[in-house]
Amino acid sequence: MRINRLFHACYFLLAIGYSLLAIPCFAQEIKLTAWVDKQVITMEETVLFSITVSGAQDTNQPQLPQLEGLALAFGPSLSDETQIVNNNVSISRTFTYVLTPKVPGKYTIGPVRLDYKNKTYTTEPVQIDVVSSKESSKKGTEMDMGKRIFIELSTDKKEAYTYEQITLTFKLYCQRGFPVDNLQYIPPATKNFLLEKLGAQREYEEVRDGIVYHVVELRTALFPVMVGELLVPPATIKCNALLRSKQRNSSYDPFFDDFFGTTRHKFPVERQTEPITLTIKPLPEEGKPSDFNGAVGSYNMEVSSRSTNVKVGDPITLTIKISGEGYVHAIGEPSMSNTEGFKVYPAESRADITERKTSDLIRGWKEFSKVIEPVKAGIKETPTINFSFFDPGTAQYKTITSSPIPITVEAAEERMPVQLASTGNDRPKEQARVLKKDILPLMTNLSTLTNQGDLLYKNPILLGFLTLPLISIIASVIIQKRTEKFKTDSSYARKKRAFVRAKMQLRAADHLTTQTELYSIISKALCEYIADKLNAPVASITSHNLPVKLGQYDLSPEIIGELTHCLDTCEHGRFSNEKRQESTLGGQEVLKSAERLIKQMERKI
Amino acid sequence: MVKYFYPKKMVFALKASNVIARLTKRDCFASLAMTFLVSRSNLLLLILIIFFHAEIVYPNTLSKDTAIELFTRANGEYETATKFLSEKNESAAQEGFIHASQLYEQILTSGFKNGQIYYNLGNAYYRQGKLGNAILNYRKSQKLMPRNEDLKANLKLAKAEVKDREKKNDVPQVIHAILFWYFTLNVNEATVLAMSFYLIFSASVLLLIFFRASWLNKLCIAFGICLILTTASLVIKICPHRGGEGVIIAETCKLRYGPGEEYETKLEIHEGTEILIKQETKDWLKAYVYVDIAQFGDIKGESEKKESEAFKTGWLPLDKVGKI
Repeated sequence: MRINRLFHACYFLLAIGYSLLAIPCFAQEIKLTAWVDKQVITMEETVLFSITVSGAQDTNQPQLPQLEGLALAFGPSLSDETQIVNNNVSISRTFTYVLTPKVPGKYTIGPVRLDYKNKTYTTEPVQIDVVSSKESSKKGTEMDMGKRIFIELSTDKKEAYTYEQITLTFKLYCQRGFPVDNLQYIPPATKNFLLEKLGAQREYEEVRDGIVYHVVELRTALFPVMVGELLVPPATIKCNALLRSKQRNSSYDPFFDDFFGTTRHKFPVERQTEPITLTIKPLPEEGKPSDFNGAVGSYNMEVSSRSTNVKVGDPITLTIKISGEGYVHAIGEPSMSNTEGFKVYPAESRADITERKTSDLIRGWKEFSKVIEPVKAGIKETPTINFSFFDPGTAQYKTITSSPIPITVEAAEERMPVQLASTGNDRPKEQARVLKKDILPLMTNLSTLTNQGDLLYKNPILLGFLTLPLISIIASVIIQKRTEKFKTDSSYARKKRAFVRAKMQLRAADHLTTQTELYSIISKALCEYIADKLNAPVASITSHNLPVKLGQYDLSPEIIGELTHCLDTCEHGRFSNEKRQESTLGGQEVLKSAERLIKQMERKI
Repeated sequence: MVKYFYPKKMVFALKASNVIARLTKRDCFASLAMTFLVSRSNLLLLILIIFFHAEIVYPNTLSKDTAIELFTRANGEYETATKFLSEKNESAAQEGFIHASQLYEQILTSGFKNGQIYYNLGNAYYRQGKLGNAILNYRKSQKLMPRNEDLKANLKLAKAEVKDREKKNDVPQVIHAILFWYFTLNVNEATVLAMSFYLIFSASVLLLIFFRASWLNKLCIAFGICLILTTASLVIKICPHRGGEGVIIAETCKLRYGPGEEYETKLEIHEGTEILIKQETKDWLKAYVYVDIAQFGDIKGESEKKESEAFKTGWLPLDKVGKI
């Protein structure tokens, strides 16, 4: 039961809501329009002739007029449309007929009549051009392109006063269903005008010469700042019209075209309006008030004050708000009369445009904050504010005078003068007198209380440390020179490395087990050592020429003899079969002998 | 004494640590050196040696803690004396200032020297009315703290009270600006600066030896110039330390023609006057006094100037001069 009641309540509310929504549609005016989908057709094509009744859906079928050269193929088909935009409900009913041409020629359909509630409504006649299929290629697209998309630029008036509003309207007409792409609008490059946009762009449909157009409307308020013949330059649009390929069926059906992917080619379209010449008149000198400050329009003025009970010298802020139709930014500061007893400061102002969307006229306000300061007690009211403006509607000057605001001004209390800034008096400066000279207090910083008596340059460790870099430099120079000599002087390098090389060779020989290798290494080490020391080829060192080669050095004959013997023993040991039978002890003795000989030679050579 | 009681190795360690301690004047260095020089088995013995021979190792110089304690005490005495002075109790104040100056002197004679101590001592002497000693200590402090503004102010104030008009050839401001490091650094700071440049120069030379780059050559030249300048400044700074400047600490002092009472008096100079010591005997000093002489008036010509300069050099009794 409860659910049932709830359902009833919801239904009731919905019914009320629907009835409320439906109220505006009864008030809607009945309008009858007739239109065709295209004005030029071939003998093979059909044309859709539609009659739309706006504002009612309960009408009878309109009376179709006598058709010349055309025959009714099908119809009418009915379609009802309800639109709700911003709570505004609009309804319409459309009767559509399909007509086929009989004979080529120009025909007029209509006017169509409709009787509804004892009133007769008629449409404008619609022109149709029936052509043969040969002509259609010429007329089809190119002829119609001018009617399919075009623009208009207009002003609401051709004559105006300076700073009087002129509404510039730009309209783009595009046939319903005609596809366009990359639409680009170039507004007129207006000079000598102040511009204010009048709301957002409007979009609606309009029937013209039997064709339904989708219209985009842009409006701009112009305020001329110059006098004379002023030119509004042309506006331009650029777009691409998307035209179907001619290979396909000429009948236009977007659904099938899109479904089968019909190719469309872009046809660039550029439209330009005619320039508009406006006559701007100067403001009349006759009757111009003396305090006129350039305001043009229709305005009201409000004056208010926050404080009315003040003391002498206290500021009073008068708020003057001027609102109305016109270019509020151009309004000058209103004049003030009866300012005796007041100190008047320049006003600060701010302005805003409040209405530009709904109305055709720009509306706004400008607020002046004027500070006045009473200089004597007993003043009863504020000064009078006068504001003069030129009303272009009546072509007359008007002056608004505000009634003074009653105030109470009391005598000020005695106050200390406020020093705002130095007045730059050249008064001689006085020197501060030194009362007593005295020494400054003790130093008590314990963190820096270190023994400064130790002089660093007397510290022997530090001085010793300072010799290290010097030693490093000397050592580096010696090393560097030695390295360079090793690189450049090969005999020096051989001589210096001889002992180390020989020692390493003999050390390596110590681990050998076979006699032949041992003798070979010893012989090689000795020969190479002597060759390196003498800077001679190794092959030139033999046991026979040793006395000659080493004769120039301070070597005893015993050493040379022992050396010769040692080399001979090695040679013998390497190549003689007899020696192979000897134990390794003989080889070790030769090795020790070679080591001793090299050490002895190292001292002398 | 040590030699006879401890093993030979220990005696050597002790001697070595003594030498290091004297060189470094740090206890820790001494003990560290000893620790390295003796074996572990003698470590306990070593600690005992350090304990008993601490005085031998480090005989005179105060430790920092003791110096701080004495310094704080002296400052307290000075502050108390200042309060007495404000209460018009001059005798108690005088006593306090004397006590404070004695404590400061005690720190300084122990070998612990610091610019703050000299400055405070100067203040204590100033309060006692000993202007010569005050200026002497301010000047000593200035050698250690050449950038201290308080010190400059006090020295200026003290000098303003000196009876003799000072005549010194002040160094022009331009020279001050060019050789700023010479005038704003004390000896130790100048030493550190010169040493730093020495090390950087050495490093750049080392690099140049191994990597013969032209920019390194330029770098070496630049650091070499810096090293020469800073070392020259340091040497000039050190020389006056040895040459000697002084301040008259007696109320009056006679500048005589020769080193003895028998010589005639050239000039009578007063407490606080600065002098440049040129020669020193047992009881007398040959010095140039920085005073303006009335006899010569406005000096005209080079000969008069030389005569005036020569007249300012004479002999002063040693006990009436304080060396800076």
